[in-house]
Amino acid sequence: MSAEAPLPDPTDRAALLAGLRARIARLDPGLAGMAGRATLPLSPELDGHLPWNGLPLAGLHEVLSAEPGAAIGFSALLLARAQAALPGRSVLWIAPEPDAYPPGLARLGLSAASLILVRAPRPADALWAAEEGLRCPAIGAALLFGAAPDLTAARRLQLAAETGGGIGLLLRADDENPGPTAALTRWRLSARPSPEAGPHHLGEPGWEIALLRARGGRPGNWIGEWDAARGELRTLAPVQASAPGKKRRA
Amino acid sequence: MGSRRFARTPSLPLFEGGLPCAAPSLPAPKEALAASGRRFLMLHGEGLATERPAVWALRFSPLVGIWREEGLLLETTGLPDREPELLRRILHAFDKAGAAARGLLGGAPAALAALLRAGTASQVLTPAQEEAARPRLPVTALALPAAMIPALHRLGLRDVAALEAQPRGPLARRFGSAIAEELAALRGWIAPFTPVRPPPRHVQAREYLSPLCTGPALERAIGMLADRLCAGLLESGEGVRALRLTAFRGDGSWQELRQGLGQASRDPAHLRRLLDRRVEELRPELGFEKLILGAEVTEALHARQAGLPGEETPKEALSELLDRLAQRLRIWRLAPRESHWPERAVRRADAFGPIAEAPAARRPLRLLRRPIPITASALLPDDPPFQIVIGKRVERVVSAEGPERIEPEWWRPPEERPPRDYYRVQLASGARWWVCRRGVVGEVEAQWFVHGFLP
Repeated sequence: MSAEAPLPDPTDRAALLAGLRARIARLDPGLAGMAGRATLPLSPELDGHLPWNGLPLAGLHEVLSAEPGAAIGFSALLLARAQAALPGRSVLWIAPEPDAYPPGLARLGLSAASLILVRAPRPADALWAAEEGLRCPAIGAALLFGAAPDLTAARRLQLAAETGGGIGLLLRADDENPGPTAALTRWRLSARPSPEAGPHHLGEPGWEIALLRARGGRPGNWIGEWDAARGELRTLAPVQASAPGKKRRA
Repeated sequence: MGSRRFARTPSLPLFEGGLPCAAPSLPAPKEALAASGRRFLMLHGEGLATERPAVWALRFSPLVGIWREEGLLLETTGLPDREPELLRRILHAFDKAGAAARGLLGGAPAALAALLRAGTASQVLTPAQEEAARPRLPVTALALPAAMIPALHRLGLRDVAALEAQPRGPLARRFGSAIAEELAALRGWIAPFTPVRPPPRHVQAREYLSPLCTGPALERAIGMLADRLCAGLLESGEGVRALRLTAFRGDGSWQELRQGLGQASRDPAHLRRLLDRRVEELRPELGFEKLILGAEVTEALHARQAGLPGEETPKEALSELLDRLAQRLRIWRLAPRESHWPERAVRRADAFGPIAEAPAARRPLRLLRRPIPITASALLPDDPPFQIVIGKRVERVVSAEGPERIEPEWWRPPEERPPRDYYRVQLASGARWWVCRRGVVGEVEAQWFVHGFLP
């Protein structure tokens, strides 16, 4: 924890209160200043729904992959947004067998020039690399594949992200019971047929974006479409969950 | 003997792949020894001229070489101990390690070797003593081809004084350049030797009275060496790119660790952190008596005001992070390459260097290293598939874009590489796959694969 500033003169009540508030904010940045945090813009609807008015930086986020293409697409979009919001910082891609493919990632706006791949066959190594990376002020985002860290490990990643100021992304398979999490948000991504698709035309990528939980916010469900030409995510207003049987505890 | 004659002898080799003992330009003969001022210890003994004793002797001096397969040469210039004590200490240590040796400490390695061959006892020679001993050296003690000795004896040339009195021209015509070279080496003008390890630019060493056995003790000791090394680097305006830690055990064995850095650094905290992680590789057994930390490769590093903790520039922070990651894991960047083959279009590049940007394409975000084999059904042989069977799952294809045909690159040696037809397909569930048919259209052995998932 950073060094504590001396409290002001105890007779000055207002200054004293402000000082104490600032100290609490320093002690747990996750609690204080919901609206005052630096965020990544996603889309107007998503930003308006999230309690931080956007996806907060200096935090850990979980993406459950119900369909590999959609989940990696959404994650790559977040990485690209983090790259744009934190210029000069690099992005870590940590996986047992990293197989990122820059030509495809470039279409989502992710630049390969600052993308560093880390091969971590053992989950312990992957967590260590993610924590070291997130703590480093030169890393804008770290994407961690496959590992389902326990609560302690996830909390460590969250604290590391608060130190470094980047975002941590956990991309995991969509388990039946994803368990509790220390991450700020948890998303589930599934594919959705594009409305303008024809037999010989795929149309723009369509995703079903489910916000399963957000610290201090409500869950939600959207239909998203990635507009590659304009480089933006278009979302429709919240919809009902796709199938009642697939509803899971978050 | 005139220096003019000497200057006319055909090209004397000054280097032999090693460091020149004196400066490459020949100094005037009389002041050669005094001018260079370098001091050497020559050791003769059973089995000494091999790598093991040589590396072990690095604990006494950072510059150790094997001298002409007969002895060890240690440069002692600038060592803190007084010379007689140094000699006694080194000989004692060799005795204790089971390799008895005789040693002479003086200025010209070749003369020291010749004196040892002539049977001189271990001692320290002042320049004056060396000067006085040289003329009395018998030719049999010199490093000359054995066949040359009887010929010299027949001419009545029995010692160095007699050799030096001869004009060099006739000697060189009769015996080649060997004699002139040896005479020059005896005076310390030339003495090439190859150090057993490249001399570090900066080195810190410390002996420990009670041997270090535990991890924390080693970490502390190495940390202190790193701090002092960084202080030296700061003074000379350099940063280290490669470190070497040599740890000597009491029983005469040792262990070496090398650690590279992605970017020159002289930040003690960074070096400590890198070395701390390597401590677990050290095997102290009965304990380490001496540690030497050397900066093997250095680079000029501009002076910069040390920032407060957490204020380091992103570039430095990144290279320090990559150093730490690369210690345990493989890291790389992906650089584009000119090729139509999807798996050849990117190549792994150094994680520390900058790379070019890849052009965007309608490609998957992850390219599966092992494509998943599938069964696909199409109405016509070159139609896109309308149904895909993957494992036991049957997926209906709603829309498909393609084919995108990729032919083998004719300029590469022919391999078993049939052409591929790629399709972007969208399944009923909305998932998008990048599938390919490998093989010529319509042939039975054409196989289908999923090569990646599209966003």
